Amino acid sequence: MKTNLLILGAWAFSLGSLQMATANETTKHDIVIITRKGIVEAPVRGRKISKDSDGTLYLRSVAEPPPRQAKTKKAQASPSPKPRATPLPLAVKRAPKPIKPILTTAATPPKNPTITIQKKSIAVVAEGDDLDEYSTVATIADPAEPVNRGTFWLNHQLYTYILRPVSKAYEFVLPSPARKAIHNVFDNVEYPVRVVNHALQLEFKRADLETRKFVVNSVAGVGGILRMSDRIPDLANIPPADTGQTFAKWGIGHGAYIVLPVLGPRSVRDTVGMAGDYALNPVSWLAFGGVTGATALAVSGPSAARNMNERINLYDAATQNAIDPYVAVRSGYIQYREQAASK
Amino acid sequence: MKSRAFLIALAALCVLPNSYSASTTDAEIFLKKSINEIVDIAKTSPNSTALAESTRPILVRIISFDAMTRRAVGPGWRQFTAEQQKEAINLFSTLIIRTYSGKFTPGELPEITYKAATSPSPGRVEVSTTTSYKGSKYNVIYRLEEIDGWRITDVVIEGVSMVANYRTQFDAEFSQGGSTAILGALRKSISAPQR
Repeated sequence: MKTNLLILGAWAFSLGSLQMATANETTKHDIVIITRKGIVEAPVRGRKISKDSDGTLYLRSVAEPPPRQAKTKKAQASPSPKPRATPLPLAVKRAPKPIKPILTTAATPPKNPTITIQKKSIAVVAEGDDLDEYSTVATIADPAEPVNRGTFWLNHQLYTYILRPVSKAYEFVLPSPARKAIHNVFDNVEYPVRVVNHALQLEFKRADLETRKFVVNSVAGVGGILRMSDRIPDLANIPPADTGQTFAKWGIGHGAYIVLPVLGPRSVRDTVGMAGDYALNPVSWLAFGGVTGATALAVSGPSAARNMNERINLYDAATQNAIDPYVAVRSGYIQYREQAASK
Repeated sequence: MKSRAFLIALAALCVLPNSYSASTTDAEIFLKKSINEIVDIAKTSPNSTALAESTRPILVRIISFDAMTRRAVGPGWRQFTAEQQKEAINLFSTLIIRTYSGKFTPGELPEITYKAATSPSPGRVEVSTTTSYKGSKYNVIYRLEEIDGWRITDVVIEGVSMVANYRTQFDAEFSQGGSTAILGALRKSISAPQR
């Protein structure tokens, strides 16, 4: 039997079978079959298409036959029984006769489209196409894009007119070694954030290495000013860990993309994770412990300055030379977080 | 006959890994030499603009701007005319040079530690590095391909691919106005003042 039939008209039968009980005899033929020879119409008798020389396809699986009145009481109670199999999607519309095969592109739609076979879009390319190497780049849902763009614009003004000048002043006042020392101290202090999250990710070896690193830097590195752990290969490149990353490893998805005032891009998951990091950061324990005034400022001030400086530098790196800075930051953020979660 | 085929297969097995690792080593040597050249220029450049100008001849030689531009634009590249393609490569090259050289601040030199290179497929090598710069450490991966010798085709910093990042931006532009929109956006970005 030849198997060169492509049935796109099966929808007609699936719908038609529901109407068959009402004896819609006005249509001459019930289905349309596209064969290599062209498009032909065929009558349906019962649930079958009559055989011809091209072979026959039985549409038994498409829909149930109309209910028989005398079979069961249940059938009487439900006048429109559900088809057992899922009907095929409406790929084509029943056309007014005569049906002609129409091959069109989107640019020249037919007046009465019957069967429209669109040419491959320019975006649809062959597998392994050199041009489409980056089609699978990480993305994130951004349902609140207009609001996010508004917040992004506000942050841009804040960074440009307030934070960047302050950051430049920070870089001007403090020489590079001093900034590096401040960075190292607060990075060392944030040890609980990393060790707890390594443990929550069941990465106990990393938690152990992180503890060793903390001890080495605190003792040999004079309170973390010097990063002596860099001289020990095992301690030099421990992957970072935070609460958002832990959520990712637990299988929690990003949720939507949001741009927070001042803080910038986050996903919903990472925003919740940020609260966890804040709670685990010893610098914020001052606030929990009721420490205020000069002491709190002396500790949290340099930390805030360091964070702001790093944020501005990151923002500049992401947006300078961008085509659309908003999209550049969003793409950069999601790629970065995906990579962090994969470590 | 069978034993002869077996011997040929065995010989191929012995030769293939060697040639594979040889090309990987070549790519590594090429990359190290190229980065050293750039770092040497960064030592003496007075500012970022001068750095970009000085590094341009080296970057033109070591980066495949053609491959980068095509992949950043994606399948829509086929809708560009030959002239538009030429202009896009030219504009994008300027943008990439500015982006790459903008990562360096004159006077502050990075410390680069090279890790073992990998070859995801023949003719392609990825060299991972740890770059210490301004007190922070970054994982930087250089993707190289054998195109008229070894050429850098992408730089991935902390998981963020430079080409993929531009691809997402170009996609939005292309869907709005095709090749003309992309060229317009490139011209606008290049004419924007540097911070």
